[in-house]
Amino acid sequence: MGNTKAEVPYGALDLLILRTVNTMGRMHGFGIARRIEQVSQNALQLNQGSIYPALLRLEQNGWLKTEWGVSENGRQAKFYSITRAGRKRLKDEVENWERMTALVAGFLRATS
Amino acid sequence: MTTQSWLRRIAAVFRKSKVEADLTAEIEAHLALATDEYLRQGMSPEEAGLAARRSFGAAETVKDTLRDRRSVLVVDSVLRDIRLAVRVLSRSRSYAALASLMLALGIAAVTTVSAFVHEILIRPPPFRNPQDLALIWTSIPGQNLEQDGSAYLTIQDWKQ
Repeated sequence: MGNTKAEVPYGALDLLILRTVNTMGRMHGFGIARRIEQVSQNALQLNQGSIYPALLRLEQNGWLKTEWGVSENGRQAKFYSITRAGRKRLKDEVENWERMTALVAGFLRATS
Repeated sequence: MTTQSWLRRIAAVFRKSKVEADLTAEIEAHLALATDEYLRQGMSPEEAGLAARRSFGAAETVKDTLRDRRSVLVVDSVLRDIRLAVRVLSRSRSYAALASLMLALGIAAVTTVSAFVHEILIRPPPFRNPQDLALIWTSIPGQNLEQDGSAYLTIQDWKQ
């Protein structure tokens, strides 16, 4: 723990958020942040606050929609859910990510 | 960026206080939820609040980033510039008057010259086939007459 935690790779946060909301359905910001931490088994260094700029960007692009609601334990919270455009975007981002990682992996094999 | 999201951001400039409240409320909600979770894990209320803040990171930095993204900074800073200009100029009236006078003179001069140039050099003369326009001289070498003007009646005679 501590120093061994990995930073979220640049550009991956959008993908993680879209994926989380797509799988889990309507969620509030805290839920999304906790979910990302849990799925990564706490190996990811995530300032929970840093997901909000990403959430806003995704909302402004029309990939997420928001509404205020009440959480499972009775707290007011802003809930995010994925839009149709968001699902399409997620598909593109996943393909992009896979292409990118395959490319880097190939590069590492070729030069080692 | 879509037109819609631009419109939303422009609108956000004009209802900043609402956006601000929304932002604060969202961050507060997050902290409350996080505190709840730490309480469930058996922390004291004080510890839980601190832990929630720690895991959130720098709230003010996040707020700033969000504010910047939500509003159109250009519009914001232009409005600020205009306000500053009005304040500074109203503080030194004579300087402002002089500057306005200079601008007025400059604009007047430029307008006059370009109107002139347009009328004389650019706009075609106000009759048909201006390229056929000719200048007719009368020269009578015997009488030492060279390039004299031609009387209208003489030209009428030539035409026949």
